[in-house]
Amino acid sequence: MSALTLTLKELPAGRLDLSPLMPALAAGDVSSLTKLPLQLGTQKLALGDLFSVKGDDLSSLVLQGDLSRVDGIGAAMQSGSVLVEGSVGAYLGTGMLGGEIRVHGNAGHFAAVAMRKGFIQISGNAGDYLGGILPGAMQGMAGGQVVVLGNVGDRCGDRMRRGAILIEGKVGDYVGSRMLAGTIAAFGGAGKHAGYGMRRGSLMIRGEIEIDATFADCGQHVLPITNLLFRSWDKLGSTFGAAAGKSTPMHRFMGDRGADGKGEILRFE
Amino acid sequence: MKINGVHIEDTFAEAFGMRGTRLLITGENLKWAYHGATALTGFATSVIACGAEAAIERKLDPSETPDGRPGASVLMFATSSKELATQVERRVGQTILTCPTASCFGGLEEGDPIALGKNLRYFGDGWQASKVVDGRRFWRVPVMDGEFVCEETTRMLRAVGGGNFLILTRNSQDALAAAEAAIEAMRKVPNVIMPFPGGVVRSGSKVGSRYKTLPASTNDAFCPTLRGVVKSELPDDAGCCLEIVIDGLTADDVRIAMRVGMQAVCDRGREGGVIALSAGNYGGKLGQFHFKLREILAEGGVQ
Repeated sequence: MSALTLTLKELPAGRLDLSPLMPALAAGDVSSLTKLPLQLGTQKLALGDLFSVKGDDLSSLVLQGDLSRVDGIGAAMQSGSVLVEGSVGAYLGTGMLGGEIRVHGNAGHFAAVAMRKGFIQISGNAGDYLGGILPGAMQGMAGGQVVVLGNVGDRCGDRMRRGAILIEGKVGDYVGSRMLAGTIAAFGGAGKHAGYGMRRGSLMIRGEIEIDATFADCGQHVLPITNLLFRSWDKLGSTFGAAAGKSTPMHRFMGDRGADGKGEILRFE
Repeated sequence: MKINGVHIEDTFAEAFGMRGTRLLITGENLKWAYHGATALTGFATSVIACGAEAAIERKLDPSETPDGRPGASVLMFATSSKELATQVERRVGQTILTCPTASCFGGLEEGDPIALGKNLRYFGDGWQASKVVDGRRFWRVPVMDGEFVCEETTRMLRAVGGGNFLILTRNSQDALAAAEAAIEAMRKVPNVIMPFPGGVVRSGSKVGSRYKTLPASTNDAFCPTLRGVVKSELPDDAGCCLEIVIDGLTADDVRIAMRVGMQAVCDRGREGGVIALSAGNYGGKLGQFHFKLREILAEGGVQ
């Protein structure tokens, strides 16, 4: 069996919603795959009109072509793997329940929103609201791991509930806003108002960060729990494990004291 | 059966079903991990009055611990799952929570979960926080040196307690030397502990006594000072008897530890003052596990 490979024939004129794909693959019906209706702007088109289809291994999906206008890749995915050779549009891995997605390029806004389980790696940059929340929901990302090797936009982890987001580069403004729990680590600094309205959870920031007045300075400490986290991240084969076993001192700020106030920003060098 | 001049009694050790768990204790350095682990396993020689039998299983390298710090692996056994849960919580709460820099983690991959930090976290008085790392939940409790980190649960297995053998020697010095050699070899066996002081016990007991309130009393048949007045089990030239008690996660682990220990004793041989090896049992009616000495030694290829 070879990986199911979908190659986008040409850059669509508008936004293409690929979110019905993973539920269709989970149903296991490959014969009708080319007839799967997809929304392109205001039009409904069959998948076969937009993509050329090769391969038959439904658990291993490869996406090729310029997918920067294709939204909802890997949405509601439960198992298996998705490999994207290029940049993707918005809503990557929305409501993901398992499996892994690797993107060799950038991801648009709202990647990993409402994610529950699984693993996403983005080798480029990610847009705003990474690991955030869907409209009307009470909580955002509630499990799984997201790794971004580049930079991330604003409002990363908005209302995040559980799981980890690891960013090698810089994260934008309002990282961890209204966060309920979970861990976000950025190794290239953060923008303004980090942890705005956060109730619990941890932001681990290496590099530049402005701490808002609603965070209380708890001083510098060596925290054994960070050893556990760094060791776990060491397996990801990135720079995240570099601090493993070093008992790195962390400057701890507790907040947001304007909300529940049991969250923390851990700043380290 | 004789090995190196040591007579192997045709008898068996009688052991009991217990519940066991493994805890991993880490600290800033090995010294403080051991301070915690030693206190945790203190006064845990026998379930008769200690509630649990516990000891340090082995030293752990930083690469083997969840938080990458040096540590010690501890095994703890009790007679029921409820009692084990009580003992784990009580002991960890009083010894690891209190020990500077120490952290506590579950050390088994399978078995039923029992509370470890699940209730101890309330010591944090609302300041406690948890983190889920790779599917396992860890509690962070603020304490005066920083944070006490403790996994939420540990796992509990059906285990075996009370495997044993008796070392009969000419005198006390020979008995200590033989027992020490046995313990040194047995400490290298995984999944077992020898819970008594230095791994060795001198007060073997028999069932019953002449007093109404005392259900067990000294094993007079093996007491050298009573040789003339009771029906003694000691050979004529034996002046001392020491027992090694083994608790293990499985019967096979106990069996291996017994073999390794008895072989170490036999290696000292008659020249080392060792006269015989025997074992403690209650006629075979009380315990569900019987470890036959001759069978175990034969398995090891010793004739």
